[in-house]
Amino acid sequence: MSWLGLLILPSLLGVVGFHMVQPNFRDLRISAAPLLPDPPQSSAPRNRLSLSAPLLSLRFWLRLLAMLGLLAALGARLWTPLAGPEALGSIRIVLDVSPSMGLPDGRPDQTRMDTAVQVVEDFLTALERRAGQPSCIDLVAAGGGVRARLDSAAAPLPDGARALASGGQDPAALEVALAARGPGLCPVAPERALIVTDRPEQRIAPSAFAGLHLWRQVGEPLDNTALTGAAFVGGGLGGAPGRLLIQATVFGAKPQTLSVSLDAPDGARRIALRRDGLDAGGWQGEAEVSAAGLYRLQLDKGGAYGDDDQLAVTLAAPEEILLDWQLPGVNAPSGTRATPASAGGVLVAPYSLGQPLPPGPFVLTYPGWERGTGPNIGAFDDAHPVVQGLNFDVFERYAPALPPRLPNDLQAVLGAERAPGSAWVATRDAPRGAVVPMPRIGGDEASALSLLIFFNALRWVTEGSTQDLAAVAPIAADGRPADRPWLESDIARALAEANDPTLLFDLAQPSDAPDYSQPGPDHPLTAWLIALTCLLLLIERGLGPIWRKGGTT
Amino acid sequence: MTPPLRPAQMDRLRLRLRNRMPTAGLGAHIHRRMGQSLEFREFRDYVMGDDFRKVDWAASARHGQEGDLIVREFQAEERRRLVILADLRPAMRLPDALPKLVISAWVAQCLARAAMAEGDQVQIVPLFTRQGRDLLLSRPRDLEKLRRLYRTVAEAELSADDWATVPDIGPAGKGLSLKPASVVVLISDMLFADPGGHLRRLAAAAQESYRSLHVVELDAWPHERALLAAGPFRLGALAGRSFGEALSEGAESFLQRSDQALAEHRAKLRRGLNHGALVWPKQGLRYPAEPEALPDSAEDWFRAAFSRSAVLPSLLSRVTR
Repeated sequence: MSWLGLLILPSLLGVVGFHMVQPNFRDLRISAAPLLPDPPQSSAPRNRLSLSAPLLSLRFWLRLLAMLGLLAALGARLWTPLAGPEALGSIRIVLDVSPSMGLPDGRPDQTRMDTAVQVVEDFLTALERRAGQPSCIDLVAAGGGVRARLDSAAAPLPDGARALASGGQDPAALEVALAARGPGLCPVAPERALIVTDRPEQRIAPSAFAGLHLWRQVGEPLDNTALTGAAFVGGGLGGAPGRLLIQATVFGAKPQTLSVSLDAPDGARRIALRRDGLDAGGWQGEAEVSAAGLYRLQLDKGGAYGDDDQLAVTLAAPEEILLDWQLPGVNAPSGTRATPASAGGVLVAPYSLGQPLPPGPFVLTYPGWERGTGPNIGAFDDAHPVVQGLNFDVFERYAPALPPRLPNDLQAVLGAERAPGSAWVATRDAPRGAVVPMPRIGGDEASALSLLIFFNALRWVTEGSTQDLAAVAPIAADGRPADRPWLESDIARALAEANDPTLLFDLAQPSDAPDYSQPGPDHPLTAWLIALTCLLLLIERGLGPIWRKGGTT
Repeated sequence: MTPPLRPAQMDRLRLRLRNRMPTAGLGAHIHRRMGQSLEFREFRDYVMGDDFRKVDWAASARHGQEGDLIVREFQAEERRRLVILADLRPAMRLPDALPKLVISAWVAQCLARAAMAEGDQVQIVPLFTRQGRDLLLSRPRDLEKLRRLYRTVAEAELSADDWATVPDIGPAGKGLSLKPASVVVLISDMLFADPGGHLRRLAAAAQESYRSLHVVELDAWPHERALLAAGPFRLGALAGRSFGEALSEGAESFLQRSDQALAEHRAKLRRGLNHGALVWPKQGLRYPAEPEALPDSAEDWFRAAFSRSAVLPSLLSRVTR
């Protein structure tokens, strides 16, 4: 309001001063002027101050009243309170207790949870001093076990409110906490909610919470690296050794190098990771593995959060080729182990029209050689491993009948002329799968072609198969198994500007901070004062010519 | 614009003056008046001041009430015309308290009414204005045309250039032709310059043969002198004279030099306009010196000043020399 006060006095003084300053001379026109001698110059000042001139001037009073009316209108507008202290409904405090809340926040002796608890306590203190009190207050730990109703704003936080959850929390945990009902909580649904977390603000589904909420983020950004995945790729029929594929993700500052310590049954070694060209922040590496057993991966520099730095991978028989052989009339190659497709084995079976493709790796066959003399070769990919070594001229001479229309998931490797939707050889890349003509045992050239194509497909599929990722287990920093630690890995996210939780008292729109740049509701008199000011100015201006003519000041 | 003298007051004034004027004598410059020919025109009631030789005793005894007299009226060979030259310069709008234009309008109406009561025609000639034509008045209700002329001039907006420019006499003054039996009255403040000599020529024509030129001077100098003496002032430009933005004061020495300058101007103008039949009384209608006396007492002042002035007696007199 001080600027309004600074405006009032100069404005009034200006109007008064304008009218007090009067000319100290008269403008005369004398009919004898052309005949008069030059009049002597006067040394009197041109202006004088007249105390009575304003009082006797109607225009002064009109201008003064107009100025006062305008100032009153401004003052009425500003002095109208935005919102009176009204009674608040039920308030819920959602406290994020995910493991990342245990990380340091600016000081070694201050954690993110310490900051969050301070925010909550300050909010409750301010709430206690407020004129209008909420009908009920409760606190829910998102992902934790604490759900308690507070007796009042002065009540202490419930025991265990600071206890961190053991596993990673996905963002939905906050919505679940907002929507929580039941014993121990307020009987009515909360109308306002304060969410204190180290996550960036996210959209809250109206179905979870339709009231007014204020998001307060805590926690200075911290650099972190996480081991995010491991997969085993077998050597396949080609006799190549198996490989352990390692994936890591960097959050925050980018390191120059990144490496992982591998503790394998056959010894320990260090694996250097390289940047993933397709994923910013992604790193990957691989290590050859041949022995069965437990493999432990440990990031050499894991960052602030330690529960995502270790993985344990158990490989049962990395050198074995696991096949789910269901092909009649053809024996499985030696050195393979029969394993159901559900357990990671490559499915080798006849293809039936209309059957869905298996989710895992597969080689499906169709009878075609018996019906031979298929159409001419159309488009083909001669670099694909499945057709490696194939003599296309010979194949075209003995081309089998085409299979029925193939699913759209497959890409044609060896197609035929005028046969859209079908091909002699079709593949899928992830996971690998191939549909090829049924192999047949014989000495003729057609049999040779069939065996070449079939075993090319089998080798290609078995080389790219991976073992079930269920065998990959994250290990926490304390050596115990960790539950989905990657949900907490991004601790380098930007920290939003801290907003005052007490703004929750005055919120009018959900999830929006109040905009105090907009004026509050108008005082009832504001419009009338402005209208009066305009009327006075209109009178003063409109009658001006008449006053000037009559000499009225 | 209506004069503060009521028609009845004007008639009494006129008749009182006629009783004092010489009624006998014929000479080379005697003006012809109604009834001086021998051609009978009409009978009318006798009014005080009529020539007793005109009384028709037989008609009086025959038609009149006891004590009433009847006079015999003869056709005049030519009706006399009163020509009023109205000075309508921008300076005539001064002073602001009571513009000379208003006084001029009052004087013109009084003279016109008196002339029409005598049976004369009245011609109004506007000078120093581009607007307005000559007006010919023959009946009392024609006075509204005279008032409208003055009102039009008074209400016209004047720009700064209009004030500053030396006014021209105007088309009416340049092309004026006067009838032999004309009495010319100039109503003005006589503070004008006559660079082209048009007014001098007009004055000479107005004094030829039986004609005479009467000047009704509206002297606002005492009032304006008092305004100049009242404190610092800034003079506005007028009729070719400009004074800039400087402040001036009306020192006594300056005012005395101004008195002298005006007196010299009047003397020079009097010499220039006189061709033997100029009637310009030494004292015209003089404004009161006190600025605060106007405009509240303007009508009282006019009634007194006009009654005392030599204008009407000289117009009603049969003898000019």
